[in-house]
Amino acid sequence: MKILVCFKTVPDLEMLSEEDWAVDSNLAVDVSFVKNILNCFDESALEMTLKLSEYSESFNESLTLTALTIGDKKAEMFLKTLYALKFQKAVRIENNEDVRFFPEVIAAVIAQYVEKINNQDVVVLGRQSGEGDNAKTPLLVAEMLGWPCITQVINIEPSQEERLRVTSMVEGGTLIQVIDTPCVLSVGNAPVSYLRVPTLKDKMSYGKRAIEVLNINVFNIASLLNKCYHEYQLIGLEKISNHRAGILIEGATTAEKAKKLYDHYLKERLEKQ
Amino acid sequence: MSLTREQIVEGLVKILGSDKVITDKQVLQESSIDRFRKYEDVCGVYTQPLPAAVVYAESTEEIAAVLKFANDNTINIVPRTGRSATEGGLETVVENSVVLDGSRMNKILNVDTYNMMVTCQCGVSLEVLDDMLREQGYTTAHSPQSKPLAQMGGLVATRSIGQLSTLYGGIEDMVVGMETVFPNGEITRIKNVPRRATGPDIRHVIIGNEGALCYITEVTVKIFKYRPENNIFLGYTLESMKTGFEILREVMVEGYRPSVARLYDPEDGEYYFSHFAEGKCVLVFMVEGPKAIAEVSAKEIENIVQKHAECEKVNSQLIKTWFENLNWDPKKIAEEIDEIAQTQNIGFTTEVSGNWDVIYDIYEACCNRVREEIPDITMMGGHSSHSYMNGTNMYFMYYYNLVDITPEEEITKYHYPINKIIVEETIKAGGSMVHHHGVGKHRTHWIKEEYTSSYYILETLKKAFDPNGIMNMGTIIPIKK
Amino acid sequence: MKFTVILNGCSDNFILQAEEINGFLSSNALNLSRGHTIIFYCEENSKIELMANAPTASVELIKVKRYQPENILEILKQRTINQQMDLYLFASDFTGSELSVRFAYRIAGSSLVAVNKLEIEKDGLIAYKAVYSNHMQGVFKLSKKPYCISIAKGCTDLEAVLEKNHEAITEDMMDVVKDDFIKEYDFVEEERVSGLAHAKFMLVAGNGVKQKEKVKRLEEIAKSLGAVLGVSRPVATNAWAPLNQLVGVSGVMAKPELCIAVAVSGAAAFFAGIEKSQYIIAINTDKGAPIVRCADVVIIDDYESILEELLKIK
Ligand SMILES: Cc1cc2nc3c(=O)[nH]c(=O)nc-3n(C[C@H](O)[C@H](O)[C@H](O)COP(=O)(O)OP(=O)(O)OC[C@H]3O[C@@H](n4cnc5c(N)ncnc54)[C@H](O)[C@@H]3O)c2cc1C
Ligand SMILES: Cc1cc2nc3c(=O)[nH]c(=O)nc-3n(C[C@H](O)[C@H](O)[C@H](O)COP(=O)(O)OP(=O)(O)OC[C@H]3O[C@@H](n4cnc5c(N)ncnc54)[C@H](O)[C@@H]3O)c2cc1C
Repeated sequence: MKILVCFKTVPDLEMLSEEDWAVDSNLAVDVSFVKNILNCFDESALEMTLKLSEYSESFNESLTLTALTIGDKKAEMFLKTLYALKFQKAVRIENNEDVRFFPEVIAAVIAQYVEKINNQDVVVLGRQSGEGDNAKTPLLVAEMLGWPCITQVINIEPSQEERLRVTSMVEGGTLIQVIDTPCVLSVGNAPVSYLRVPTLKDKMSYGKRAIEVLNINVFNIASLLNKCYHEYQLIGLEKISNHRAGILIEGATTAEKAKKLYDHYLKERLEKQ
Repeated sequence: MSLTREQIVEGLVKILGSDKVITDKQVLQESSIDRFRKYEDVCGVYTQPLPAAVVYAESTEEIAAVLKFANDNTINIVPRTGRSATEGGLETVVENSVVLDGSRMNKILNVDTYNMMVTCQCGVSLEVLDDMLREQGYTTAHSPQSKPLAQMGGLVATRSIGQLSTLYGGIEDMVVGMETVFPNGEITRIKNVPRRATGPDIRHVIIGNEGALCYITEVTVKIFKYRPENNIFLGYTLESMKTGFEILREVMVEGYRPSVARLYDPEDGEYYFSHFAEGKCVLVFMVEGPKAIAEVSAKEIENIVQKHAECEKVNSQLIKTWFENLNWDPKKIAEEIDEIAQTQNIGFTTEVSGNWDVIYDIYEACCNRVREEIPDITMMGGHSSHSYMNGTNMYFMYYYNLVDITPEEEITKYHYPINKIIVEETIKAGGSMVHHHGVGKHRTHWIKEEYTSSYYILETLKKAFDPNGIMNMGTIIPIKK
Repeated sequence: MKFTVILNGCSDNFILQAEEINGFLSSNALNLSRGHTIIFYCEENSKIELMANAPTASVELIKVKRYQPENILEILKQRTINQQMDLYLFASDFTGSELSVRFAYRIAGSSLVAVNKLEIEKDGLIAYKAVYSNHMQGVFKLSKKPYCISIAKGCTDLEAVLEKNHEAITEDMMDVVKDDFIKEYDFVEEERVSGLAHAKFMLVAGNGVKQKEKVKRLEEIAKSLGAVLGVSRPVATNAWAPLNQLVGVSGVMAKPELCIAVAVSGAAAFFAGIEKSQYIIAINTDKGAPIVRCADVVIIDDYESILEELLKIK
């Protein structure tokens, strides 16, 4: 079975200080000076796939794992790590365009990669990522490929007859489904949240293979972008204030303060409970 | 006759009241270790003897009473404040120990901005103290990575050092005076004066004692003006650690005093700097102080670096953002536990020092040997973070995958052998086996090689101040078998 | 603006979806008379309740075997094929966001997930949504109809449906099957645990309570206020309360509607555990405690006297 895991490296936004959240004339926040990390859902997706691969061996089935990212050179560090963790193929599609808010473009590139360059049985992606918070990419990939999609996936296991046993979260509980491929799996809040770490030895023996780099122009990015611009655009960006009101209740006595608290802030809320 | 667990608890309750004496099993388990055995926390498997109780003292008098009771009945006392110890200092290796916790003694007693010092109880959190001072335009200038965790008593007891040490020094350069309680209940006070030549500097009996001689109840430290607006950050990428050490040396020898002077190797730097320095060493400086001095220092340090063609300057915002995210708060500690549990990959540090002529050799020998000799290593690297006229430190970082082990074997299969390599290579080269975390309980094995003939002084101190052997036994000095 | 609301009537959270969408419609001044509601349902006997909670008078109830997105999408496409709709609105849960995106693709419209607010303009739709991991609010202009929008969780108050004169049509579309890739199917219902993680009203107590007896008293106070009691770490490690009551990064990460935090300093490791509360009231003797800066309402006083006074008033 051939499995493609798509991942994105994102700036570690938690590193930004209050004043770093300034918006420039391109409606962007300068994140160039914070380090990059794996998008958390994608990290789950990668580790989940490695676990699946290990587990599949006991079913006498071998998986071919490909990792794909669309972005600049900074992502290569992660691709090398994935090689060291025994992914068979690591691919980067070079992109320097601002596609933060255009998951349609990313999805189209991924779908083309699967259809024209490297056929797959399963595509695994994290549900949402970093800057854009679009939460659309895996869904669009499924639509473009015409494949079914399972969302909020939290576990993938092998099953008989080249099938997969997929656990996903739905309202009110979990679904466990045995499915035929092809299928797109969108990974949600999984208990598996960290990617394992390769040993120095594995880095030496497997991590040095060449990363396949493709140019995004092969995928007609200009026309994809142009189409998106006509459908929707970001026209404003501003900081959300997380500060709470911090209203100080004053009063001469404890009883007075308690009364004010009750009358103005508690009564109604308690009644709602 | 030694007391039973129950009698010990009874005695403690008599002194402190039942509210301050805790015997809940989970509390005792978590109090039997520190971060050296963090894998035990991950697995919930505790291997050390459980203490008889954890007790919270709220005054110097209570500390004195507990110590006297312990001294009279030969009960091992493990002093504790912020619980961020990394070298086993908090391990209760003796049966029926009592953990004496001073974290409730958390009052800031006096801020004296004319004589530039602040006095506080041992349980004052450094971050709370420093935030309070900063609001008034002052700072302790003490900034260990554990600032959000550590408290003043522990910081003095371990001879801790902060990220700004190259300008402000370690805690030993900051302490003015102290109040301390000895095992027999004797309460002593060293007054707060700018200097004295009244015999040996007895502050150094207390600073760095790791709870093995006495209990620190109150400390007075210097304060400095807080002027972050004058801070200048400089960062460079370079190819070799050797060049980096040379530059650090030159900066020190030429008489410049950046507050931060750090050199990362590519392995250690990868975690922080991969977005601009993949595969390279990184050299970092911060200069601070009065504006004019900061500006001149920055310029001159630049000139020194520029003489080395392999150094490439990076945007200082990269360095500033890195620096602002360097500290470890409780959230990070909790996340780390989760990460270890999931990945079965764990990391530790060992910090040593050496003179300029040996530091590179120590660095190279340790890295090579650990990478070659230890199984399942995923990372071995390090940085230098505290430089002096005579030399600098090396802070080794190492991570390994835990493969086919029981929880107990984490230490014997990996951690000990790595520690051994680093300590032995350092001592062989003439360096010091501990730069700032304290000896704790796991580097005591080499304490005589470290001290050589001066071990006599150390041993005599222990005998003199803790004749009954009740203070954090097994710390600094090994327990005689 | 002509719009259609799509709701999942197979789910237990249907009323919540309906009231949330209803709140969204009114806070964004959408004219209900121009709207239509499609509800998918599985059980015959739920129909009346479902219909009664449709935000618009015009309702379409579509019966399906179970809620399966592949089937639902196919049905939606069939049912809306010749409509000239401006806007499709989907609920804030994961099914809503999934449908909005995939449906938009199938009908060649445009989509946006987790939208807080809409503004209607002549040549397009302005939509607000959180981006940059909730640090920033993005303003988007959509210019390709139909717009398929799923709303953001908690973006409006819940509003009960007032419409009484529903006109409903019912359709059975159980025979539309696009999910034969699924070979086995098993639904495991989540245990509805009460307790801290799901508490709607929480009282949390910190080290400032100082004694085990006081924590017992707080249990009683919490009960009579209708709250669940949580504690900070020192309270748990002092064994004044069991560890499963611990709130914070090492314990429960709660998201109650109302949280009263007494005698806690508000350390980051603790605060992360109550950060998601809709409303935080802090009672502390120290004006400088960090919690004071992260609460909606603050009283600087002894927690015990305030709580006892509150009980008297209540
Ligand atoms: C993430 C992390 C980063 C760190 N970074 C640094 C760093 O940058 N620089 C540095 O120097 N250290 C660092 N450390 C080590 C540690 O934070 C320091 O050793 C700190 O000084 C310990 O203070 P504490 O209050 O937590 O003491 P504890 O952990 O409570 O105790 C430490 C030792 O001191 C003894 N002790 C504690 N209180 C007293 C007292 N009142 N009287 C006598 N003995 C006492 C204990 O018995 C123990 O041996 C780090 C630790 C961690 C976990
Ligand atoms: C790895 C790690 C994980 C941690 N995880 C957690 C966690 O999950 N949860 C957690 O809570 N902590 C956690 N902590 C501890 C955390 O950092 C704080 O130490 C802790 O939250 C402080 O608890 P507190 O606010 O109750 O106590 P304190 O900081 O002692 O605060 C007591 C407060 O009570 C106030 N007060 C005193 N008397 C009164 C009175 N009569 N009336 C009103 N107010 C009064 C005081 O002004 C003070 O603000 C963790 C720490 C570490 C190192």
